Parts: sequence; C-alpha cells; structure tokens
Amino acid sequence: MARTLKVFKNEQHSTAFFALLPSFAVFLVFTLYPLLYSLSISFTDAGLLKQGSTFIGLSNYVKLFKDPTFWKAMLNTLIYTVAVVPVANALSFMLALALNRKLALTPIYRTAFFMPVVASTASVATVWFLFYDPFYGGFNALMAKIGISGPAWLSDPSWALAGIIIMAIWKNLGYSMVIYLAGLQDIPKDIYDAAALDGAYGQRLTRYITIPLMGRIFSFTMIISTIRSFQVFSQVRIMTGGGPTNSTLVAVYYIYRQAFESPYRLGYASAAAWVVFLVLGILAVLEARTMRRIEQ
Amino acid sequence: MSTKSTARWPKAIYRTATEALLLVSSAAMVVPFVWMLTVSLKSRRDVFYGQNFVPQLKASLSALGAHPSLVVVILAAIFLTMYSIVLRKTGKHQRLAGSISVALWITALVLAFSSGTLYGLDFSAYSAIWTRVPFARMLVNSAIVAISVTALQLVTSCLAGYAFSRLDFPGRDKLFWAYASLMLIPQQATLIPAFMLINRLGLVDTYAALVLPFAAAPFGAFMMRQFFMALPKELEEAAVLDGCTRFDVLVRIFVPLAKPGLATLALFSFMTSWNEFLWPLMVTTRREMFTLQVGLDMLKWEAGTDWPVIMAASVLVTLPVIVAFLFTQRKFTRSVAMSGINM
Repeated sequence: MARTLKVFKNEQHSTAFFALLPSFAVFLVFTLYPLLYSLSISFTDAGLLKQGSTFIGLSNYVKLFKDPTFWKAMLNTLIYTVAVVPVANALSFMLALALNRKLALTPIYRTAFFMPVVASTASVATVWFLFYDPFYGGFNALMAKIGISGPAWLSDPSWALAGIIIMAIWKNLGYSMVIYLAGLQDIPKDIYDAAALDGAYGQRLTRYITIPLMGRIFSFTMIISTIRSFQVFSQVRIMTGGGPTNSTLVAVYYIYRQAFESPYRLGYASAAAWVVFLVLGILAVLEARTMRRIEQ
Repeated sequence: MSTKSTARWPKAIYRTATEALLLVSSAAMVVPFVWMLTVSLKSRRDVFYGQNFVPQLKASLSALGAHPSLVVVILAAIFLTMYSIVLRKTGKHQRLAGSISVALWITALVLAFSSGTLYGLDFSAYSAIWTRVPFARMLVNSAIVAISVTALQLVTSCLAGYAFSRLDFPGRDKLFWAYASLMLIPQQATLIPAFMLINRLGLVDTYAALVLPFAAAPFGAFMMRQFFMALPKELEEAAVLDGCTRFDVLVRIFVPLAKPGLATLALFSFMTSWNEFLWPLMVTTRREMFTLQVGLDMLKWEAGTDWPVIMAASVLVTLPVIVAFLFTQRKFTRSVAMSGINM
C-alpha cells in the first residue's frame, strides 16, 4: 500500500510537471524574460535600427526625468485614471444595486451596458472619433437637443482628454457592473432577512450590510481598473494620436512613440516602461492599503 | 399601520424612477452603436449635407409605416430577440427563440430590400470596403489568429488548471497564486523586449508572432482550476483504481465534464484575441498580415472623410463579437464576473 502510494505520488508529480510546462514556457518567454530584459536594456542605448548597444548607466532615466513631454504623459495618464476609475466604479455599483432587484427588463439593461465592453476598443474608438465631430457627429447633435452647445472635443486641447475620458467611462461601465452584480448575488439572503428583523431597511441595508460585505470585491475592481486605466492606448492612438499639442498623450503611447517612431530608441523606451510600471505598482499597493483600512 | 402605507408610496415612486432612469441610460449606451449603423448606411454626400441623425431616424421610421407586413416582421423579430435575452436559463426554448429571431431579421432585410423601403439607405459603403483595403484578407487573418489562440488557450488552460486543482505536488497553491498574480502585470512592461524577440527570430509579419504570446494565459488556468475544483473527488479515485493514468483522467473524465467551462473560456479568449490591437500593430508591417483591428486604424487614415466606409468597416469588425455575445451572454458575463469574484 505504501509503495503504490509512493508511485502514485510520483505520477502526479510528473503529470503536473508536463501539464504546467506549456503555460510556464509561454510565461518565461513572453513575460519573465521580456520583463528582465527590458530592465537590462533600459541602461543601454539599444535601438531598433542599430546593431549592439553600449551600457550608458542611468542616463536614460536622467533624460526621462528631464523630458517635460514624459511628465505631461504621466500627468495625463494620472488625470485619466483618477477621472475614470472612481466615476466608472461608483456608477457601475449603483447600476448593479439597481439591477440586482430582478426588474423585468434586467437582462435587457445588462445587455445594453455590457455591449461596449464586448466591442473592440479599436472599433468603438473609431466610432467615437467621428461621433465627437463638432459639425457632423452625433454627440453634439444630441447635446443640442437638450440645449447644450458642445465643445470641439477631440480637436480642442482643453476638451480632448475629457472626450477620451467620457468614452472610456462608457466603454468600461459594464465591466465592473458585472463583477459587482455577481458579488451582490453571492450575498446570502438570510443576512438581509436577519437585518430586516432587527429593523433595518432600504438605504440602511445597503449602507451597513451590502457595502461592507462587498469590501474585497471593491478593492479588487478598483485595483484592476487602475491597472487597466494605466494601459490606455488604443483609443488615444485612434481618436487623437496623442494630440492636439500632446493634450491626450498618455504613458503607453509615449513609450510606443519612443520605440516605434524615429529614432527608435528601445533602451530609452524601456526605461520609460519601467518607470511607468513602478509608479503603477506603488499606486496599486497604496490603493490596496487604503481599501483595507477602509474595510476595517 | 399608517407609517407602513406612507412608506410604501415613496417606495413605488423610487422603483418607477429607477426603472425610468435605467431605461433612459441603457438607451443612451446604445446610441453610439445606432449612430455607427446609420452613418454606415448613408451616402458619402448625405453624411455632410443630408439630414442629421435624429430627423433621419424619424424619416426612416415613418417610411416604414407604408409597409405593414415589414413592420410586423420587425416587431416580431425585436420581440423574439428580447425574449431570448430575457429568458434566464439557456435551453431549447431560448435557442429556438434565438434562431427564429435570426430568421425573422433576415426576412425583414429581404422584405425591406424587395419593397424598396431601403431606398433611402445606401449600401455602397459595405461593398467599397473590400476594394479599399485588403479587408477580406484581414478578416481571414483575424479569424485564423483568434481561432488558434482560442484552441491553444483551451489546451494549455485545461492542463494548467488540472495540475493546479487536482494534482498533488509541494507548493502547488503558492505556485498557483504566483502564476495567477501575473494577470496584474501590465502589458507595457513586457512590450518592447517581446517585440525585439519576435523581430530577432524573424517572426515579424507571421501568424506565429500574432498567436504565440497568447498561447497560454493565467486567466485561463485560473478559470479551469475553478471548474475542476468543483468536480467530486470520487471520480478520479475510481478511475485511478481502474488503472487510468492521471493524464487519462483529465482527457477522458474531466474535460468532458468541464464542457460548459470550456465554452465560457473559449468565448472569452476569442473575444480578447479578436479585439487585440496594440500587439498586432507592433508585429505586423505588411497590410496583408494586418488583423481587422489594425486594418480599421489604417482604413481610418486612408478613407479620410469617407465616413460611411469607415463606419461600415466598424460595423463588420464589431458585429461578430456582439452577435456572439447576444446569444451567449450568460456565459460571457459569467467569465468576466469570475475574474473578479473569486479572488
């Protein structure tokens, strides 16, 4: 018995090894190696068009910190994140609360709110690019119906980022909504019944039972959406190309430009990628801490 | 007693208000899609000199009034589509309603064509796309990439999910959480060296470059682990006693039982792969190797002011995912919810 058990265990080990091999091979080649390699070339002058590279120490980082365009990109990314994450999450939580009551048309509403999540960012960004057109687009035409004359949106430096933010909120609302909805449905009904017996009702139930129980899901969606927000690229590339006058330049687009537009500075771009990665890491940890403190 | 009845009234008002608000806001969510569709069906001239969005919609609705049979078919199609969405459980019922609604939509289109109601609509944009850019080729590329990625991810996720849930080895759960936390690493941190690697291997402009980085994803392993963990332990014990290897157990017992999970994962991988933009943009240079998303970006620059063509292309890029979503939305939303709920 003991012997068979031992053989048994070995077979599990070997099966596990071969079962995990493909996933870990992809991880090593396309995540771990690039992650470390980008750190190492961030200290060199590596470029796309030249052979070899020389070690130049921290000068990429020094140059980066002196580049006002980089700071502009970081600031825009931060503004975008700070605007999109809380607004989209608050709205989608309210939506989830409303939809959790099993109204007759709930599935229709859910479909409507989830459709932008399913559509590709490239295609909806293309739609919004034209939709925002101040003369022939639909957005200002609809605003005019309720008596507001809209700005020039994407071609106006002071409104372009706002335009990108509005579109991003529209696009991401359904994502967190679905997560919150699933979380709400996981809360056992007994808890509400018990609280109702104790005299709690309506808003109080939400405030003292639902929200505390959703704590972990809140932290998770907040952090996930912060990470997603920091990666914003496609809609900027398609809707504004970072302009006008860098007013919508975001971090990933800055990195992309450094690497894939002349003079193709891969080392410099990698340094930028690492700085963005670290800032995001710090932000996510801070966020996780604050959320935990609020939970307690 | 009196407090109770006064409390009931505000509640009813509150309910109606919520419902009205939801109705208006979900209509608002759909507006960009509707706008995309209407622009794609205009002539180029009409976009700039013709009727605006709202009056045009009104005009086409009143034109419909002249064809009662068409109106009936459309209403039935809308009703059945909604009905199949509203049904809470997927089943024969829903599939039947779904397929009848598709048939009705097609009938409505044919009727509209033959009766000339579509007179005001211009379909030329939809035929122009194919010659403007190698759109058919891009469609094929996107399909090849998305299908390969999905197939590979199903295999790798099943294997990894099985190892992480059903096989016993030291440090298993720690390893799993370490692997799962990779989902949090942003793409931008690995982008440039991953591209350099592809470049050095001479894989730029190949399907391998588009597919391989996505051959395995932590999310897939995570999801399949959840599904496998829910299966009873007796299953594998009996099979092992009968002389099955652990690998046999996975292939013969677990995979067939995890079909709903696999379908969910397949939908999710297909959608993410189909929608991927940044990576294909980086590793393709020849337009024959572009995926639809990159092609759309190119078309946007090339077509310039030809809005109907741009919007028609957007419709065609969006349509497959939206249709897939409408018919399988329970699975779709569940896969997204899972990524958040079980952490």
